[in-house]
Amino acid sequence: MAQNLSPRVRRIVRALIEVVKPRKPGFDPPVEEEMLEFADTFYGYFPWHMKVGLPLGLYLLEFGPLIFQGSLLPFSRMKLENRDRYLQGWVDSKIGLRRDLVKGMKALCLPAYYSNPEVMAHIGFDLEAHLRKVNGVGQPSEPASAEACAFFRKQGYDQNPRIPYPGRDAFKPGRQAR
Amino acid sequence: MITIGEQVTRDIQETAEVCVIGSGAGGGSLAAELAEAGVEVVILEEGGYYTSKEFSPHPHKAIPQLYRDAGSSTILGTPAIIFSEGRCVGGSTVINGGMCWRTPERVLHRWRREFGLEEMTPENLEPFFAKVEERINVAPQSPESLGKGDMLFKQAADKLHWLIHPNRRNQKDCTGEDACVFGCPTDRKQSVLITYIPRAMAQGARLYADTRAVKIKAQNGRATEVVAQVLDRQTRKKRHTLTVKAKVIVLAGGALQTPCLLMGSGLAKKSGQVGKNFLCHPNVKVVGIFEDEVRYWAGVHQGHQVHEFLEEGILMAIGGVHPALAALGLPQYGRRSLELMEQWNHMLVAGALVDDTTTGKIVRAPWGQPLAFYQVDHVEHERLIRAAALLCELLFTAGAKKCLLPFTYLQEISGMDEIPKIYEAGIKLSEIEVLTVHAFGTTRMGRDPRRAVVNGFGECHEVKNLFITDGGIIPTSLGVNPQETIMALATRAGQYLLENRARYLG
Ligand SMILES: Cc1cc2nc3c(=O)[nH]c(=O)nc-3n(C[C@H](O)[C@H](O)[C@H](O)COP(=O)(O)OP(=O)(O)OC[C@H]3O[C@@H](n4cnc5c(N)ncnc54)[C@H](O)[C@@H]3O)c2cc1C
Repeated sequence: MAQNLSPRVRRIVRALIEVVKPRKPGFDPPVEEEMLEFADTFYGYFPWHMKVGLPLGLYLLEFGPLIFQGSLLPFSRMKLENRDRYLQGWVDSKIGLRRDLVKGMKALCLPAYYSNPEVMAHIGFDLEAHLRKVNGVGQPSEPASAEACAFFRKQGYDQNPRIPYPGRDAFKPGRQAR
Repeated sequence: MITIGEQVTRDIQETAEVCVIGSGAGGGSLAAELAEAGVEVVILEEGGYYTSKEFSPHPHKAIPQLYRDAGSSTILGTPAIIFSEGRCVGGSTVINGGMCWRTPERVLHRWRREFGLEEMTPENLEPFFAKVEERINVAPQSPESLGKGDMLFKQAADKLHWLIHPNRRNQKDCTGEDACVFGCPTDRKQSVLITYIPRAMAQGARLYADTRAVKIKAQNGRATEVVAQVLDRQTRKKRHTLTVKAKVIVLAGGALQTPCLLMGSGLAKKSGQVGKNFLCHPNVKVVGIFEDEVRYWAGVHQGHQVHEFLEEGILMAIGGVHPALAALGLPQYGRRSLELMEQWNHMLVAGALVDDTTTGKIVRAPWGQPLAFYQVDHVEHERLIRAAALLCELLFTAGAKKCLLPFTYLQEISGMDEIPKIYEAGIKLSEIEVLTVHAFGTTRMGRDPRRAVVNGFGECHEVKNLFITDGGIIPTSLGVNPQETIMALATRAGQYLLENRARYLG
């Protein structure tokens, strides 16, 4: 388990994840720890200036309520709906830096969420099945899209002499098959 | 032979005829040309050595492995521009989209006229392009590999009578896996990793992965030695020192790293051009949402390019983006992000790059890393807005019911009749989401040593046996994807070195 972020910063990131994590009634996979681990690992690869800049940005988020709203309650201690409203204020802010910081913070949290198998299945992104299909793993390979293939064939796209045709029969087995 | 960092157990001193720093488009191709002619070559590559068996189609694994700074690089300015480049054996070619275009004639004309590069004619460069195309197997895509996104894109461009071309890509029997940007899992994309590097290795070149060059030493106007650090792949901390004494040293670390290394070594200062003239082809993206399923990720990305607006400095294509990255480009988070992403299979992401009309610079930070600055000017500002509007026109013609825009406040429009809003909204620079994957100009070539760092063969005006063959030597915006230009120029530099072997290597 990576520990690139300090415990304090991890606490802010955890509070941030609670807000930015996409969820809705009936679909809320428990991905929080994965997101936090990704954020921590990802941070470890940052260049020096971002390693310094990101925690500063997170502290600004944490103590921003004091600056922007006169509230003594830091971000990580706010109720979830207040935290959400406060973060939305950053997204809609006239100050470009605040908006950019939110983008950076999202980049820290969201990739792990949308790379989670349950989430990918939920949004219909079945990459593995696609890879199996086009590489003919356990079945004859198929075009990436039968509709597009027919369309481009009609347009004469298979006249390219550098690619052996008939195309798909000539495809070598994919990585999984090998 | 490829040596990875963990195999190095002590400090090493190497000698070679040529030491190449960086194993990407410019470094890998040159190294192979030289090695195949019997030159003793040592290649230093800061990134790790990974084969397709270790690639993952998932960004949270692939990006830290193959991208510099895990893809977190940013070009500073308003707006800040998100920038990605590769850091692995094969460089950015391992993660690029594989599009291959020769340098446009109008660009070569500019090089001749503005930089005195008389020899840069299409006829003179033809054999180098042809050789590169043969080496990396540049070919159009098969119909089997193309997806519905490309079909909609092509149909819409035809309907609008816009000039559209099938993309030429470096691939062999591509099946349309669309995993190019995380490393092709079946080695069908013919990146430098699986073309030039094996050729160089077969001829006895030696490559050190996880090895970062930190200084070039010079004496009496000649580069003599490269000092490098062998890094721990995980912590990126120095484990050992590697020095390479060589007769010729070639810098090919990319347009950000190379000027930084030159600055850190105190070389080529006289022209005052090192790190200046930074160009980056700013990009914008628009997401079309369709009634019917598109599943645009099922099929190779960027099978076509719209060249209708090239003269205006706008190039358009379909982007191949993983949902995790698509979600980052949208302003939503939380539930609204999920609700949008539930339409993933109905989305089509299209992008446009614009020709630079200004330049930025690279500065070497006190901690030794490059900081890139680029301030989009008013011409590019207008171009980016026009590019987004044109992308919307294309997507609505293709049947989109809604377009998600790269602007902070004007986030979507719902039909062709709303396109004027894009022009009328008074969108400020700070409100545009801009990204890029191209970088040039920072060690530009030209005949005049006061205006350029290297000559037309990539040789440093000031340090005679120091060559540069990465994207940094391209002196002007290209308006098209750069890898073929970079490889052709590197191949030409290689031929020049071989033709003058006695002088440089004797
Ligand atoms: C996601 C993405 C998609 C792209 N799509 C396309 C496309 O479709 N078509 C196209 O033409 N172009 C594309 N490009 C751009 C193209 O890949 C690059 O322009 C090209 O590879 C740059 O070549 P280069 O030699 O300058 O640098 P690179 O290919 O990036 O190689 C530089 C190498 O040098 C290493 N290095 C740097 N500093 C040091 C050091 N000090 N010591 C040792 N090693 C060092 C780096 O780790 C890197 O591996 C894309 C780029 C990206 C990132």
